[in-house]
Amino acid sequence: MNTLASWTLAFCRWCNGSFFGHGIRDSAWLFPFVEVFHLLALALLGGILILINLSLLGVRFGNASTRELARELKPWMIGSILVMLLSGFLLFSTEAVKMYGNWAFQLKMLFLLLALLFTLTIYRQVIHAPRAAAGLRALTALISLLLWLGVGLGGRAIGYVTTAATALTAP
Amino acid sequence: MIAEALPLNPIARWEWVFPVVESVHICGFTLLAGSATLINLRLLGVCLRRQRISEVAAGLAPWMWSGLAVQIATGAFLFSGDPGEYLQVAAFRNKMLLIIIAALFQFLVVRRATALGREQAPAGSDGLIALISLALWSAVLLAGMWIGNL
Repeated sequence: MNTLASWTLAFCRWCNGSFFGHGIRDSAWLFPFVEVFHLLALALLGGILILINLSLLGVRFGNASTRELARELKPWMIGSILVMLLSGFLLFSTEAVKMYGNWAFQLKMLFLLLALLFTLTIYRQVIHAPRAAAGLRALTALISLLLWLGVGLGGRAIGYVTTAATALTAP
Repeated sequence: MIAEALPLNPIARWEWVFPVVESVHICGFTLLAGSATLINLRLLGVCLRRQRISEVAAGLAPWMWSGLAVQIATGAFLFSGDPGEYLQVAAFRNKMLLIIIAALFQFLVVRRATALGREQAPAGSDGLIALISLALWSAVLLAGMWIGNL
């Protein structure tokens, strides 16, 4: 096992044994409680992405340019991503070692990394470029939607992969 | 038995159908809840303050209603897999009731509050309407989550 993999696994073990990992796992209501925040932030982030990407695709919201919409929604976007990252981390910590070997979770993290990187680099540039070509704007919106969709679908698949693995190891 | 899935129903025949339909159900959720959240936050006056309420609502409303249509279609499909079982779950019955209330409230009250020209006469009840709508959709989400946790 290479160094990175063993560090990651050690980190997952630490999460599993941490007080929050323990606490949320052992509580009957804490997991759904944290999950609600994860999903509410998902709704908010989803709404913001729909609005900004529709604007990039040429749908008009009054006189506002994509840049103005994005500027107004920026604190909400950052806030919803932070809530998702924090609540997601807490949910992850309850079964971190299981997630380590879950391909759906790995896929979700890969898409999340790509989506965040894309948003912070190209996406931001195109949104703020007043004279970006329509084709470029549409392509950017499409890539953004696909990357975030990958995060969501990967997340949905986590539960099914866990179930399948449990079924395989059951006597 | 009528209350059991028909043998020809794809959801009962192949086990991959349920996860796929459920994924679409989650995408529809993002579409519906995302648009509704932004419209209500604008009505509440906390975000997009430089845009007119009616413009935000008019731009997002078609996506919100399409989201609801996706939700109803995929939800009915998921339900058809095991109708008898779902009907016995209190969270499911609550969710159906809450959806009807939330959708009616959105259609009758929020739509009126965000209609064209409403910026000229903002009402004191706008914030309250937005909060009620947000609470209703959150309750739908909560009930839906609960069905899965049982």
